[in-house]
Amino acid sequence: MSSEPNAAEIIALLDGCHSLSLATRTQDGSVNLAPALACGLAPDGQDLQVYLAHSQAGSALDDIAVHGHVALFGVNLHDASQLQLQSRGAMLIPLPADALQTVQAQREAIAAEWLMHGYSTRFGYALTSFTADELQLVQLRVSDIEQLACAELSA
Amino acid sequence: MIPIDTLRACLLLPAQLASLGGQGAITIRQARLHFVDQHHLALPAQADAPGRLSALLLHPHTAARYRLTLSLSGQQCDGPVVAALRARHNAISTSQGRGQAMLAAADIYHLDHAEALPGSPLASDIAPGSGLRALRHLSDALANTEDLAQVLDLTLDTLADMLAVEQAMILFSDESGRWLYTVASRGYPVSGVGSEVMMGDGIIGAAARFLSPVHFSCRYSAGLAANAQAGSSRDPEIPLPGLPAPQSQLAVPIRAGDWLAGVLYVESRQARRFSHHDEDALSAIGAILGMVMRPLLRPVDIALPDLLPPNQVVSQGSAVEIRYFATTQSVFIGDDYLVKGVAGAVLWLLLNDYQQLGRTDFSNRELRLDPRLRLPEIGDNLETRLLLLQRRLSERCSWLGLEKLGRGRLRLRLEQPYRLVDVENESLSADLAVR
Repeated sequence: MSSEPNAAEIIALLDGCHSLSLATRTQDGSVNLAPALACGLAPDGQDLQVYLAHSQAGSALDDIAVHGHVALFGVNLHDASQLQLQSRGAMLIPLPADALQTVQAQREAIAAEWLMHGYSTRFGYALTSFTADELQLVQLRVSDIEQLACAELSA
Repeated sequence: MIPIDTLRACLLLPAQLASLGGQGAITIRQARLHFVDQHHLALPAQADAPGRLSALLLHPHTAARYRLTLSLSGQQCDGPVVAALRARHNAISTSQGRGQAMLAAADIYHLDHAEALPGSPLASDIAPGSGLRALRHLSDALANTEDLAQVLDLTLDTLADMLAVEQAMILFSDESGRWLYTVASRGYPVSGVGSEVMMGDGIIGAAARFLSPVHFSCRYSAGLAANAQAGSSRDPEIPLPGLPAPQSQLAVPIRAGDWLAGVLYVESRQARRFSHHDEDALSAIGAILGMVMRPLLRPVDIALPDLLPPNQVVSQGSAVEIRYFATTQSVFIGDDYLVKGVAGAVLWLLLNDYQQLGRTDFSNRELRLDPRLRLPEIGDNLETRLLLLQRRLSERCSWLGLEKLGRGRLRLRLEQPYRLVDVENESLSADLAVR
């Protein structure tokens, strides 16, 4: 089901996701998929911000520098739903001062989600491990949102 | 390239897959990739299957992530890969009440590139050796066994002792090939012997129908028992055992070639309880059981037993009414349902013969030839039905039982008077004292 995006609704949906990934259109016409560490609302209240680890991003950062066509994907363990957001205007932006705290807080939340579904806390932390010096931030304006029911839980 | 064991472990969880659509739209979805070989993976066929995929895989034990680049290399419409995908697809569909579904084909993707993403993965706690040890132990034990009941007990003992499997059951295919019935189980409050699953239904039915293992490492539906109550069981008198909300489920066919004997099923409350090593071990156990069981189920040419003179009649207690419904061949002892079908007809025949001729000893061969049972000439499943009857009696009736006298022979054990009532034919026999 596609619908007009609403920033508050999107953030509420993304808050329940235990797993996020960002796909970019590569320069050879293919797609690169990278895990995302955290996401939140930009200060303008309209855009989303997505944190990536440079070492795990593959070609994502280069792809975004060339054109801003991306898709953000989230999976919610509770109801097995999947959320997909499209944007054609993604860009790399400098990290804000509270970037580390933002990512750490979401890391804790994601680890707690995994714990509730039978994974160890160590698993959740290992899954979202990163070093501060490799954080990258992508800002994007959502052009389309699609929510799907999933036949099979993701974890 | 990712080590094959690592790749297979990751495939127990759904992967995130991204592709580029025809109009340049990026699509991401989550789906289970299926292992074909070290260079190929498969997905259920799509009409507009993308030519290239970027996939993120997660190791279920170490939390390591892997990124794969895949390119479409072809489609398969038949064979073990398609059977495995069909079995899984069907298991999910029927468990969610959407009926049986037939997947047309599998898209085969070539693994162009694989990379481990940097991170801090945990050490793997998967132990591949236990499955091999269990296989060796079981194959040694089965080599010295000629009794079907013992084969089942040894198998369930091995699963419990050597693979720490806490919940398991074995089901056999019936004469019609449309139903499976439970003959042995471990780890449940009630054994559920005699309970049934429709061929193709749920994880067990799908493993049988498609002769392929089906493995869920996380919850995908309500448990078997809930599904059976929802209508997939033909015999609601005997509930199917099963955890109410299993987190891990694995069903493997018991087979020899194309011949299906039944299904071996294990489950756990713990997510990701069974690894791909367990899947390999159980699949091999299913194949060994198939090879062992096939000759055991063949008719044995044993001379008919001599007619024994009736034993001395000793009356003890009041007669128990045993009712028989010919249409369904169902037998009730008192008010309690016991068994139906071939097993019910056999018991009715034995009790009648005891009443009229005083016989307690019978051979499988004479039962097979007895026109009153109307067994099919091929594939009558008499041996497995006798085992089912023996186990139901042992669970439900202390004074009536079947004892094996060796291969192909059995003895009726009676310790209380009974009265036979053929309900649909309105006939009532005289009370019969214990002999």
